[in-house]
Amino acid sequence: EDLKTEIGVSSIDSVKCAYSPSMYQHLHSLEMEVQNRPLSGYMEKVQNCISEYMREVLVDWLVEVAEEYKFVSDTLYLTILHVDRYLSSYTISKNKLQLLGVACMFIASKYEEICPPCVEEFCYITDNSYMIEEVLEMEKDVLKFLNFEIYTPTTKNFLRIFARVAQENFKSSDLRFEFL
Amino acid sequence: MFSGREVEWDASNRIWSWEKNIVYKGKCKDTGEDVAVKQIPYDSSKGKFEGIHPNLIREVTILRRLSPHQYIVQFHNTFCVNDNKRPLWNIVFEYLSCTLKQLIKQKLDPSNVKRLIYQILSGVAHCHSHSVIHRNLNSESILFEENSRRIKIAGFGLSRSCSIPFGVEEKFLKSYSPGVEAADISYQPPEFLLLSENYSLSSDMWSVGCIFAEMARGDVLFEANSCSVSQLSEIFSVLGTPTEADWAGVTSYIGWEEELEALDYNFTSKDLTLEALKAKVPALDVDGMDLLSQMLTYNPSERITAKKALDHAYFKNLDKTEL
Repeated sequence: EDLKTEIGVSSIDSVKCAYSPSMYQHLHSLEMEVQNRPLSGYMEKVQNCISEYMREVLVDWLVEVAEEYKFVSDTLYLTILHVDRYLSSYTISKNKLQLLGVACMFIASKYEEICPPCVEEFCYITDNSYMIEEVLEMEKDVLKFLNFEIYTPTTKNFLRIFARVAQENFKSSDLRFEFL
Repeated sequence: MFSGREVEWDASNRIWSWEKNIVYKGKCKDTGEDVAVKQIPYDSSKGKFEGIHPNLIREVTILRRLSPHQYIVQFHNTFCVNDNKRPLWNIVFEYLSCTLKQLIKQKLDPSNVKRLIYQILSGVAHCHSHSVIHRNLNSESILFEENSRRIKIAGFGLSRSCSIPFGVEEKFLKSYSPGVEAADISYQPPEFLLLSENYSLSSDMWSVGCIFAEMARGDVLFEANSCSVSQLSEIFSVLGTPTEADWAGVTSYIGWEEELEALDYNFTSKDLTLEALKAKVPALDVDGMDLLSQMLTYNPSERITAKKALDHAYFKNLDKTEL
């Protein structure tokens, strides 16, 4: 409760922030919906071909791609969230994991970016391991699975709010994103 | 809820088309309920098939977050059919036969203007508290349900979600496409026309102001012009040319052109601006004029919010139990 009011009060521009408390509440309720969250321990419970190490390699690679294309950080966070949500429900083989990553990034970039790269670019960055048709098919699969519920708050959304509340003058807040 | 198989529509029964989007009137086979079916064409902007259109992803995602709500069009489902081996996506909505524009043509009396703008503001406040910027509010993206006499906001194809909190250091701020080219130019706020990249929720409030004036006047407030510079001069001719004092940074936007500065619309006082606006909307009373001028404020950060507008003195004699 305190936090909610503080988000509203601590803003520099009270006009613009008139909605912050209700937006925060909305984000919070979205986050609490179980269907929006990945299953904890899905690697043991659901997957049998891939390992945590392979996910780590995929995420590292996605971070690089996001930097290369100068994506907003929201795109990257959404991508990884969608990968985890998909993997919480479906088993996937080793050679399709990167395809899933690329398709999730394709969707997230369409949602968040002003100029999302075209599907050909996404094939190219995988060293053409996958065909355009495969990426498009995976895109459809993921969207059907997510039921178009693309927008789920990510760590980043909350971090922005908390960092903002904690640092009234916001002069030294560059550090915070280094940790994620 | 129903899937595509249970909806049938007649391609000759086209109810609306905008850009390349076409909306058909259809029927749900199970319930017999009328529905609107919006077909989203392939994204052919890059000359090749690019999968699912970004506007479809955004519209459906946003509608899932916003509906059901009494002032937001009810979204039912999406389905996909094959068209020449390519998936053609459709969005199914509730069917509403009347747009606000059609209603305005029949002339609205002042009490109805008040009731409808209150409903519109409630709907917009709902979008804004879910961090959605509509970006294309106009008298055709707002529909009217004759039975309940309620408006419903539709047309979320150009909407975006914005992040909170606002005003964080520039580099963490999301930027958006400068200007929203496809949106109806008559309702575009000056910051769109000036190609700003950092607009926010307040942009919708300008459009709401234009709609409010249109309802009270019975006609569009700012006629559509062919380019943004002439659209801006149309606005300036009514509200005066904005100065750096009104809106810091206004002359440094990339859309700001010298010919705008040369225009002789430099009203010396706020009263003169109100006079000129009043001449355009003679039917509005003093409170209504005050609310309208707060919506049509140049500086986006000084524009009234939807939430605040709902508490404005203009609505004090509105019977809120009969909305």
